[in-house]
Amino acid sequence: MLFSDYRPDTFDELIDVDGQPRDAASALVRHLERMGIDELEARQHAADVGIQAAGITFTVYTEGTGIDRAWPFDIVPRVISRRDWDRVDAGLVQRLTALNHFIADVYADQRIFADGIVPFDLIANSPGYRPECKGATPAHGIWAHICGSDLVRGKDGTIYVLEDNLRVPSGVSYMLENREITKRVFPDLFGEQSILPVDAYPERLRRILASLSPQGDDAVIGVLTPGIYNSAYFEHSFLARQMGAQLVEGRDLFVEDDVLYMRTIHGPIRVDVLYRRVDDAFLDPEVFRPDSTLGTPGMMAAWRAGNLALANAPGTGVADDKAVYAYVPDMIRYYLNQEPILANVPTYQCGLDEDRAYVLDHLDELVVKPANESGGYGIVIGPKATAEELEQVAKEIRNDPRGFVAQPVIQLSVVPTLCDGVLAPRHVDLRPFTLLGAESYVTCGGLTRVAMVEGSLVVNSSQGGGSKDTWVVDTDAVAAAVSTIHVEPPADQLPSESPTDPTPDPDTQGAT
Amino acid sequence: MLLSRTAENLYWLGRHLERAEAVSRIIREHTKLLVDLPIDVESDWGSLLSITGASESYASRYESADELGVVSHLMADIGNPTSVIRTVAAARENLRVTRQLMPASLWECVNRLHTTVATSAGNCAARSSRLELSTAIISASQQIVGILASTVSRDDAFSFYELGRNVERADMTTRVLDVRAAGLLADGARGAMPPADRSPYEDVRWMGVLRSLGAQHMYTRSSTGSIHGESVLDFLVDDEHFPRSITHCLRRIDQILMALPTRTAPAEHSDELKDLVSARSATAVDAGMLREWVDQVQLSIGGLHGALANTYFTPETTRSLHPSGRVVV
Repeated sequence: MLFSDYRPDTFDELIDVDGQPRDAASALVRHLERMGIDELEARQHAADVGIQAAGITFTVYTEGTGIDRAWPFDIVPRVISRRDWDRVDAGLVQRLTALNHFIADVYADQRIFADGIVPFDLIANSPGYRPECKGATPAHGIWAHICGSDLVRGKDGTIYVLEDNLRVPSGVSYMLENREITKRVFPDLFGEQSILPVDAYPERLRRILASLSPQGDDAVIGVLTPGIYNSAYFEHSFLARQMGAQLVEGRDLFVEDDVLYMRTIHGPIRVDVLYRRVDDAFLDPEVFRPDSTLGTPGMMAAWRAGNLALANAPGTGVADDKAVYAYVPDMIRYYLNQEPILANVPTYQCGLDEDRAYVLDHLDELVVKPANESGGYGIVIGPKATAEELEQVAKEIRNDPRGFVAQPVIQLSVVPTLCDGVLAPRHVDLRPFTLLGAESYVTCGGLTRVAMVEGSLVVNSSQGGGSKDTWVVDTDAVAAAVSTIHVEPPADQLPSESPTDPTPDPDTQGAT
Repeated sequence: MLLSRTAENLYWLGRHLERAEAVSRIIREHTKLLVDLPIDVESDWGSLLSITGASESYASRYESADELGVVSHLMADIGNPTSVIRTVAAARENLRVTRQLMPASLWECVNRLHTTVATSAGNCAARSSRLELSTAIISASQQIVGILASTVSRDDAFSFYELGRNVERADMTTRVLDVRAAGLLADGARGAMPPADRSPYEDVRWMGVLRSLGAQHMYTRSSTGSIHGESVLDFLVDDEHFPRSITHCLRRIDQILMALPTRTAPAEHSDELKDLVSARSATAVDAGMLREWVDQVQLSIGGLHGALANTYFTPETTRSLHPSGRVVV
């Protein structure tokens, strides 16, 4: 049996402590057992071939050269019940709403500092803080329209928010591609249960972007990419295509009289909204890094003049900082007068004397993170680090206390993963995407990243992590569906029209 | 609404795809031609280098133009910018930055072609595997053309792909004529001789010229009587119906330009080209004159390319805006 030797030593997303499938995962687990390991491996191979053929790639950098790698994908999905998810959904919207209040406050009256909730020096020295943004008033008062959160589940099943990525979070295209592949690999499974669809994201994003311009649906929208050498270029191209937006680079753009234009074969055309996937520092050499060739001189002026909407707005990085992170629950209470729905991981601020003393005493039990890095770079996991590494990080903390935070090790939950011919537990996290504008939207699930190495907690794809499709399964809906299936179909009904066939060939859809 | 940079990528996508197919066909047909020629006839692999403009890059690394060296230089040498492996890679890179505009099946197909060439281009020494590979490349190219023909809207994006394809095609036909036809005509100026006095292999060679452009069947269908140089030339330059004739390519370019904005400069070059082409039929079939004419046509194609680049790919940013500040398309 596929799961007879399967022994997770922490919370497993599919299997409970008694070795039984969790409710939402029972259809999947039964299906996998029926299928057997050989069939499972054959389908994994088919998925890999499909990824190769479709050119679903990401770029890894080693010594200055970029290598295009096929997207790593494990076919065993991660399953979450809809009841769990509804809570996460509400929690993420709550969090992003509070973070937006915070950013708006930082660049306006700074009440939260005056009221003593958050210490001002926390942001004063933050590289994400952009005084150039003071006084700006983006549409709907929203600064961060797109957030990619990192969620993890601890040993007791608690879901924690680990990070709020508000700068240029990536991964959503892979979430969508993973679902496409899974539908091809397990078409039969989608009929047996109600798996919430994920493909609304590009249209929701387009609507939110369009709502940032007075032109509304007629707005000219561009996706600003640093170009082909960026590790997320595939995603930039994917989203531009899915939204019908222009994929632009800095060299395609220029500003005249505080209006942004792109160079086209018809001459300059005004751009109303940019979904920018270029970091603040590179957006406008007149305001930020003067050596940047990725952005466009005058872009900030166009934004401040209200002639151009930028998503996310410049300066949102101030709230995407592991030191600021510690205060998000307080922000929710302060701005929204609500209790946080989702838990934060307890975080020690090395900038505070008391916290720093504790961290330096307990380095071997804690995870130390640079406050302002992304992609998993610079993280030291205490229990796995060597004495030299701990000594080194202690030195770095003493040199730049504000630059580091520390957290207890969260034993990330696991999901059965196909490894060398067996299903083995591997640690996962989850990156859902939240959109906020005139409306809000949370992806149904998100991108599950999996550490392919046994025991490893590092899931970043830039560091050898893989990915999984994520299913939010509505177990209440299954019962309803089952009762309708028992309705006797008319005798002349074709098999392909049976209600159990969820995935008609897209090419033949609408052909009749 | 098409970005200038994207227009340029699509134009080069068309050029590189067309070139990869053309070079593969030339290699395949030359390999097949050898089978029909007696062993003592010099196989002249060097001419393939002249046609593809690779003579210099070849001479810098090899001593003599033998079959193995030439074929691997044209097919698999990443040091040769016009090799099939390089042009397919370039086509893929140009599509990679424009794939948001094109159907996913096109990307998958070009990606597959790239994988095929990257993994098998090195095995082109043996004639059998060479024929297999070149046929696979031609088939993949035809599939790509089919996807574009049947699933892509005829908008500006398609126009620039199509411009690139036809510019490359006209260019390649003139290159083949320059080397092959002029060479044949120069071989003792046999063009004027009565058929009985010609070398028995001359027909085979003219047939080879047609085959290297995929034109043999359509030529046979459209002409009567035996094959001879003058009518082959007429067909490849002037035929109005055959898609690889120079005239047909220029008409297509003309049609596309008609639908594009600010076309004055490229249209002038296109007119100049058409004039040049119609002027050829007035000249006698003579190797020297043909070469001279081909030189002029190639210069003019270069001029057209330059005009396209100046007008569409690297336009001046100060071109006047619509009074509303919003350019109306």
